[in-house]
Amino acid sequence: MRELVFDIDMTDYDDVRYCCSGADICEKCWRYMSIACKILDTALREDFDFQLLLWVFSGRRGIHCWVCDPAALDLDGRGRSALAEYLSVLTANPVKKVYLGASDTLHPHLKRARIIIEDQFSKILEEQELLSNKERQTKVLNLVSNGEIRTEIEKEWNRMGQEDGQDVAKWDKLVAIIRHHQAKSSDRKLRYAVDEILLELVYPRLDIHVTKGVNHLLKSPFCVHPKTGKVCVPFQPRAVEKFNPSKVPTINQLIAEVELYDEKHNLLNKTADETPASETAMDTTGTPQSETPALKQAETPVAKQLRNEYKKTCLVKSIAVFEEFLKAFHGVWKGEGGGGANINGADPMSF
Amino acid sequence: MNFVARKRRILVDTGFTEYEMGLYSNDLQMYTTPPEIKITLREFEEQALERVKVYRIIEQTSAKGITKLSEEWRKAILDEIKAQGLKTFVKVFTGTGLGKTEADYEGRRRDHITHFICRLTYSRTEELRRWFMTQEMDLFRLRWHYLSSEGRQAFLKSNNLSYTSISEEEMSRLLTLSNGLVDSTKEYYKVPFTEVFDLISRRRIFLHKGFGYITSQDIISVIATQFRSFMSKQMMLCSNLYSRIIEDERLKAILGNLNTVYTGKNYTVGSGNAHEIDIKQLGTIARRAFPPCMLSLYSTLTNQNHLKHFGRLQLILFLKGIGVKMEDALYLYRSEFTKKMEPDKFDKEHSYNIRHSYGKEGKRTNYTPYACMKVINLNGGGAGETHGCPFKTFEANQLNKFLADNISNPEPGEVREIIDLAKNKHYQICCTKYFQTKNPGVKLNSIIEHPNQYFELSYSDRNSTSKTEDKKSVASS
Repeated sequence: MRELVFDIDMTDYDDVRYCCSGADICEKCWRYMSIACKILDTALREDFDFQLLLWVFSGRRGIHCWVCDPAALDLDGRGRSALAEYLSVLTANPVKKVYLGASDTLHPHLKRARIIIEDQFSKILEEQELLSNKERQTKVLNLVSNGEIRTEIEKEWNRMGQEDGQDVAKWDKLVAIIRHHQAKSSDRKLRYAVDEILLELVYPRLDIHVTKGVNHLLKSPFCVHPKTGKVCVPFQPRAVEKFNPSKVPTINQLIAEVELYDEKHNLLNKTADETPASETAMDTTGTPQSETPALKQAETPVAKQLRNEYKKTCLVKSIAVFEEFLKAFHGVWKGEGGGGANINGADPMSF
Repeated sequence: MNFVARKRRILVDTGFTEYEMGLYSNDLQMYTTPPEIKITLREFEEQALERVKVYRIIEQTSAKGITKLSEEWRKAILDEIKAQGLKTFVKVFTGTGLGKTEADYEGRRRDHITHFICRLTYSRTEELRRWFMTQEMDLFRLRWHYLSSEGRQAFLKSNNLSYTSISEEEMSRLLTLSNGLVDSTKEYYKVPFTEVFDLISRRRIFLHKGFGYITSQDIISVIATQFRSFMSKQMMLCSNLYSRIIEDERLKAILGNLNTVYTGKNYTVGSGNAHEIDIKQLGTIARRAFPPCMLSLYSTLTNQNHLKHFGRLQLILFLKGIGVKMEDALYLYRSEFTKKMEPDKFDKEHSYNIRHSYGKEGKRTNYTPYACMKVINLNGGGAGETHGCPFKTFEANQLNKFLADNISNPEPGEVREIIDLAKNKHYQICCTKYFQTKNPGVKLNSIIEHPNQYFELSYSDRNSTSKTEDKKSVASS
């Protein structure tokens, strides 16, 4: 029994992002992550009927998804491989390349992915300036497999000149030329020429080995990334576009927030016995009071106070996301007769 | 008990019990019930060996690069099964399902019995289990192809694999959702996605809310998954039983050897394939025509002037097989060993064993040279040991060096390919590839299965080419 996990790493997008590279991540490249999250989230829910999906920002340059449905936990190695392959389109052999040519129809999952990508592609073109100079243009051009069409596009692009801000216009030109050829030719290889480029550039780049195996370790939610000091926080896939990785708190920031809060509420000199004060204060923050029953054990006042320290920080929102997930988790697993036996313990997630 | 008696009642016209008639109603079965019959030990061994041959044919056909499950693949396998005289299997493997002749039942019974014997044999280790499952799965899929529509229906029914067709209403919904992947002219079944992994990984199936929608042609994929998971559970059970079953010494001898039994040509001396080998030329011959396992032993012998026990045996039997005379073999070992050892000690400790290997001492058995399976399973690679199959025992860098030393002017990628094959444990295919690289002129009809076969092929080739070269040089001088 092990969660089905997905790992997407920003470094795998280095050939299509010009804002940052390596371990850095900014709002611009987060767009790739948000698209990846949307595509996978939809597929996992719609195609496989999974419901218990926990999406987490790793604290540095990647995102993880933990699928915790009973059917996902039961998957064996073959099942995990099958899902990983279903959900990835970049074949590594011999070079990374999306190829959709032979099939008669675009698989519904890929079509859905393409629609999600298309929706945001002009923003990506602008933000990453994907077609702003010769070198970048060549990269995209090389994804057009038909040589004749490639030359035609290149000619048109050259005619348009090299001024800034033409990325979208140049892309539209490329699409128009390919569409024109598609209309007059019955070449099967041409059918998905545009789709291939879109998927090649933006489709989620999964580290499938993480998904295939059951012994790969992923950073647990809420632990602190050793390099960046950032907390590994869960986020809502439906609000993934609004998530800003650069605003994720570091451990130092959290300590400062707790200190600031205590100072503001004059709690510094009080002892642990006076926790009711901090709890009252906490109510004003509007935190959901629903606690998992498992956590309601006899606690020393100090432990209780420490357990609530997060409520003085901005982490409170992330905890709310996590608690919402746990609630759904309990809902599903309660119905799971024997399989649920091992989760009736104190901690439902074996983090 | 009455119950048993009734079960065993023999139907006069066929010679099969009613129970067996039920068990063997279809050419294809899932092997859920073990056979309960009396069989002589001889039949036990002979029939099982036939099935082992079938597995090897399947493995070799796939290893030749013919696309699995293709028309060509099926034909190649069946032709070879026929060529090896395994007629009973051909009939049951290509059966349409529900034949009722005595020969039909006979074939199915043999299929049943041999499957279970092999299941036992191959349950011993993880490696054997995996190999067995691969061949059985391929065989299963091959046989499904030949089943008639009625045969398939009956098979599904008797194995409780009832998949529901979908309603028209659901169908019309699917048509819109699936972007054309669902074809309105075909019949579809709805199955949980956990039963169609291989269709999922190739994105060959429409998925919606945890269910896959498959056509009646694709249903084999579902059945194969069922068969595989059933078999892998059974194999584990079997492996637990194995230790109890081999308490019977007679079975132990058969089951323990079945997977390594060499089913090809026999290279014992006297079977007419020995060459006249000039012992003084052995070094040259070794570099030219020895397979890697023997070349590596020969080099150790001549460089380090010693070989450990299993290495000595492996090499001496091979040398015997290629035609080295006992006196010459003694001379070779003696001249090398005594560079580091007192001649007296050699004569006392080693010369007996060499004469023994040649069948001149003790019980005077003419021992057979080791086949590849035996060499591979020798598990060489211990400290100071050089026996076994180099593709298995060598470390990556050691193998690299060996290939670099022995393949002159490799084509780009060739060495890489061999190393990858070794990594994936295809030792014999590795050796075959190595052979082809070294002897581009020789056409191979099968993979290398025996070090002496390797030698036969490469030596005769080199012999003839070098002779023609000699002639040329004579003519030009």
